[in-house]
Amino acid sequence: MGARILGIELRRSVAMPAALVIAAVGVFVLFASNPPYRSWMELVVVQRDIMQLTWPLALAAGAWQGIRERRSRVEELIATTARPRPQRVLPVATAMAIAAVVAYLVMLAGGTGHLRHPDGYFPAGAVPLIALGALALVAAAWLGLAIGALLPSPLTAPMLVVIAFLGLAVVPPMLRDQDRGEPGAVLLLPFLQGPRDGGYELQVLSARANLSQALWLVAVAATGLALLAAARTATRVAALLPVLLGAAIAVPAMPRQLAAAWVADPRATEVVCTRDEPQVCIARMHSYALDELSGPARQALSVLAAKLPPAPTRVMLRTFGDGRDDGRPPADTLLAFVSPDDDVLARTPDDLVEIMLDGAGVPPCPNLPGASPGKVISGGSRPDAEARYLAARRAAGAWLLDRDPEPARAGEELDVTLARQALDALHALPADRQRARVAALRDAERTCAPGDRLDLLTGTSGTR
Amino acid sequence: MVRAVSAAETAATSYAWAIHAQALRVRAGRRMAVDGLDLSMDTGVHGLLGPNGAGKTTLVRSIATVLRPAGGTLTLLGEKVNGRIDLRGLRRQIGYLPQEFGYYRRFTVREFVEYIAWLKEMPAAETPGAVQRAIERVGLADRADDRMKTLSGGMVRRAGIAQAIVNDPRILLLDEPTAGLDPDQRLQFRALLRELGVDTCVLVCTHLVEDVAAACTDVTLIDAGRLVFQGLPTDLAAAASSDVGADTGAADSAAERGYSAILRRHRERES
Repeated sequence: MGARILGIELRRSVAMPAALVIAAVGVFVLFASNPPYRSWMELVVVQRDIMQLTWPLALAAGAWQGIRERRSRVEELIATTARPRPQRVLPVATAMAIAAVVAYLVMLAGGTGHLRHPDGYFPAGAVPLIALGALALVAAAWLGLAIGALLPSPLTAPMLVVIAFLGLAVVPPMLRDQDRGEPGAVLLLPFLQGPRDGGYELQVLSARANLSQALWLVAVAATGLALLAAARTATRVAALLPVLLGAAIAVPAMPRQLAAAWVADPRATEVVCTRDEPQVCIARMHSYALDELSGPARQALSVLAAKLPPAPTRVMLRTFGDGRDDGRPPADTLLAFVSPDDDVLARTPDDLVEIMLDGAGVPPCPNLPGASPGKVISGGSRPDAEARYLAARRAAGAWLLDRDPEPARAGEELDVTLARQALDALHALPADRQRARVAALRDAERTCAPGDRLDLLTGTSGTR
Repeated sequence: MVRAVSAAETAATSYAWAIHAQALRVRAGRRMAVDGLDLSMDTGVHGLLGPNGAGKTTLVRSIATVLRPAGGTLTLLGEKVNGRIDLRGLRRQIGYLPQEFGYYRRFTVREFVEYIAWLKEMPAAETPGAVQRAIERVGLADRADDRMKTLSGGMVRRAGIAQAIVNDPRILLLDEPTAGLDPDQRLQFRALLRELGVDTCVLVCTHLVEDVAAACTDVTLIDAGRLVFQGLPTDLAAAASSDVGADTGAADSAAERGYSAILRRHRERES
């Protein structure tokens, strides 16, 4: 093709300046419109989503480059040269494609500055999303080149930006169904809407959606390139063939509804554990927090071993919304809920130990008061049942750590005075009775046995 | 001056004329700008003269294969260009400086000339040397790596000549090549023309009769799309002396007076 000519085009065409502008606009939008991304998947999907803006820009850059021969009035000179048009347009098309891919990757690299855990779980499903995003930009640049060559007016590029941007903003809402959401055909659009529930970390785009989209984008790119290379009307008409063929195959292959295109990523919720003993485990998508959490987790284990044998030998850390349901923990496992994004960042290791030892190292029961408000089913429905339940759990943790009960955390309906009173009552007992009471609470929590936990802990039965 | 010699050039030529037109008709828009022209040219520098609208540029554009003939025959380097033939091989051997020379402003001179060399399908290995040589021949070596947009009008014209000669064409078409050149540059340009004319069929389309008189081996004068005169520059000057009744100033050159005399006599005959 002429590597030297490609070099000239890379230096002198609009390719690289356009790449710079597109990447800069993209990075700006990635930073400006969103809180820091919690996962790679969220960043990758949002980058596809903002192609509503970057795709029209790539289209316009192509068009601007496409009118160069007319703008520079070299058509007369070129008309007398030997090289056929398809060969002639190849270097500039290659330069624009390189620029589009560079722009997309630079944008992604810039976006990682707004990613909370760049060392976090990078799902394999992110790779096709990135590749298809870059491919969509290449298709935009080539289509733009062809349109610019066909309509060589200075207005072509600005008009294309406006038309494409408005088109992408208007079309998806028109296709949306009140009940079922968008049809799968919106996957033909160059931007990709994320899963409706926003659970980016848990989901990937199905292979079927990716493949049909890839086929469609290749067809669009092929039509753009063929239109650009076509010198005669007949060849231009033939150049529309790939895109028609692509649509004919891709549309039936797409899922009926967009929602069905998003499928669970089982690897994200798989548990990963520390290599060394005692084992500390967490869902893979939060594995970045394992280093920081394993210290406090092991400390919690040793506290339990010292004060409440027989103690668990491993720690299973759960996060809210990690899509798992482990049921009640076996006796050898300390199961604790932490929020890897808020707790780990905001709390000291000591606080984390305390969170893990709440309820003597057993997570709250989902059906007992305190765990899920409004679902009071057993153990007597005292109006302050939830506060009493939480106070008992808090007092047990404080007893294990031999410190004052921690005041209520955000959103917790805990009466810390109640917890303090329970702890005092517990301390008034002989040492072996104290241990027996806390062990009784732990056993009750493990099985979610009904009954008032505060009474169980302090030994008073019936009424207060 | 050392010059690359391609295999095609050393091959024996099988044609009598580099440019051969018979009853050639070429349309410019709706008008038949070249209308029944007979013309034969071979190696040498041929000046193409004629009043505005005589069809000079249309003729040059048809020889450049930009326009297709509407009638008659045009044979270039032994190949008829009338039908739907593949012009690719022929176009490799043509150099063309259009009247309105467009260029990519962001390219350097070297890059632009190299780009045109690539469009003319020059072998990649020969290209950098040929580009340097072409730029040197038009005296732009010191500006070779400057952007085209930084050049003055005369320099742009010279860059245009450089791109036209980069492929060592067998047919070189220069439409108003001296526009914008200062007197010194024009002298240098004439020297270059004489040099090129040794082994190339150079067709120079111009209004400047003295350029023709000074640098051309041969003069062609056309009017209203037809051939009026073809001969030596001295014949042109001689026509002036045989002219009677024209009021001419002594300061006008003999060639210029000859040009207008031939044209006037031709028009009188036609009407």
